[in-house]
Amino acid sequence: MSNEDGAVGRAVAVGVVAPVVVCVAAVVIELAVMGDVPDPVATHWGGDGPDGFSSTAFVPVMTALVGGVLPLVLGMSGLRSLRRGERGFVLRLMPAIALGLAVLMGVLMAGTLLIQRGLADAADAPSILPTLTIGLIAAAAAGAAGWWVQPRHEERRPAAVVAEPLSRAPGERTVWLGRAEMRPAALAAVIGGVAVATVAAIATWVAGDAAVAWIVTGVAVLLAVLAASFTVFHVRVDAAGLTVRSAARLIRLRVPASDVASAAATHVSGLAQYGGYGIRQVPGATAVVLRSGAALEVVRRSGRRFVVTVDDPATAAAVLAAVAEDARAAQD
Amino acid sequence: MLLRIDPDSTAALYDQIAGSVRRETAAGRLAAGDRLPSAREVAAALDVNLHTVLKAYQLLRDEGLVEMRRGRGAVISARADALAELRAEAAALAARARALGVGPDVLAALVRAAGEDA
Repeated sequence: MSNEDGAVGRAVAVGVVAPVVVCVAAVVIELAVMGDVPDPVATHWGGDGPDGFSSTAFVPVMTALVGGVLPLVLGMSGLRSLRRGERGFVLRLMPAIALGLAVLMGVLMAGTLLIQRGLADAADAPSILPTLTIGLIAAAAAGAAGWWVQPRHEERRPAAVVAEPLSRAPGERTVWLGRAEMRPAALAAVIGGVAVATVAAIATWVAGDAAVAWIVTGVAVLLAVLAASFTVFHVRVDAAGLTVRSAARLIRLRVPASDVASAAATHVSGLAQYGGYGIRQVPGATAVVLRSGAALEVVRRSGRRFVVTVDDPATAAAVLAAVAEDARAAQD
Repeated sequence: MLLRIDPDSTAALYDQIAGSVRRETAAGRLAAGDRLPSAREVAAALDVNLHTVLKAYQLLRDEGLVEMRRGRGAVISARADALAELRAEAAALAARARALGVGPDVLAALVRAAGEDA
C-alpha cells in the first residue's frame, strides 16, 4: 500500500544507480587519459592559472570519494523512510541533489584531466572555467531531471500520536521542561572542532602572521558561538505555550498556547525529513532537529507544523494540549 | 520533566515541586546523572518565587536524591537507581493492595509504619 506510486524504485534509480553510473564513467574516463597527462597534474586554479598540483592518481580517488560516496550517502538517506511509506519534499529532493552532485563532481574531475591531455608541464594547464560552467549546467539539468523523474510526493509522515490534554485539578499549574540535545558522539565531534580551531588560533598567534591569526581567531570564536547556540536547546511548555530557547540565549522560538491546534508525539529523521540538523525550514514546517528520534510535533492554527526533538514527547504534548485548551477557554 | 503545583493545596509549594521531581524519578523519567532545569527556569515557568524552587532543590539535596554540582547545577544522584529498582516491587504491592480493596493512601500509611518499625 505504501509504494503504489513507485517512489522507492525511482528514488533508488535517481539517488543510487544514476550517481554510481556517473561516478564510474568519470573514473573510467580519468583512467583512460591518465597516460596522456602530466604528473603531477593541476588540481586547483587561482586568478592567474593553476596554483595547486597533485599526483595524477589522486584524481580518480577524489572522484570516487566526493563524486561517489558523498552522493550515495545523500541518495540513500531517505530510502528507509520511503520504504516505510513516508513521502515529502525533502525525500524527493535528496536523490535529485545526489545525482546533481555526482554529475558536477564527475564532469569537474574528469574535465580536469581532459583539458591537460598532451601537456608536458601542468603549469601550462588552460583555465578550468569552461569545465566548471559545463559541470554546473549539467548538474542543474541532471538534478532537475532527477526531480521530475520521481513521482509527485503527497506529504505523508510517520503517524503522530495526538495527545489528550493532561488531566488536572482546577487551579493546578503544570509545566514541562526538557532539552533538545545532540547525541553525545555528535556533540563530541562539535566540541573537538571548536578545540582544534582554538589550538590553531593560539598556534598562529605564537608562530604565525598576525593577520592570519586574527582570521583563525575569528573562526574559532564564531565556531564556539555557533556550538553554544545550536547544540542544546531548552524546551519549555507552560501557560504561555511552547518556548524553545538556545542555551546561549541568542535564539528563541515560540508557539503561543492560543495558536496551538494540536500537539502530538512523533518520530523524526533529521536527514530524510528535514535535509539535515539544526533549525530547519521545510514546506509546511519549522523544526528544531538535534538528532533523529522522538519529537514533539505541534500543529498551529494555520496548519503549519512546529517540531522539536525531545525525550518523552508524549508528556510534553499532553501538557501543551492542556494549556492550549485553557487558552481557548479564556478566549471564548 | 513534568512539574505540577496546586496553589490551593495545603502542602507548601516547595514541597510540591520536590514531590514532582520525586514522582518523575520514581516513574523512571529522570535517572541518575540527569540534570534538573535551573531553578530560575523552573521559577519562571511555574510563576513562583526563585527561593521557593531553591528551597525545593535544597530539600531534595538533604534527602540525597539530588546533588548540587558546581557549574552543572542540580543533578539527580545515584539514589534514583535505588528508587527505580523498587519501582517494580511497589507496582506489584499496589496491584495486590488494589485486589484486596486497599486504597493507595492506606497502603502508603502501611509502608510508612513498616519503615518506622524497621
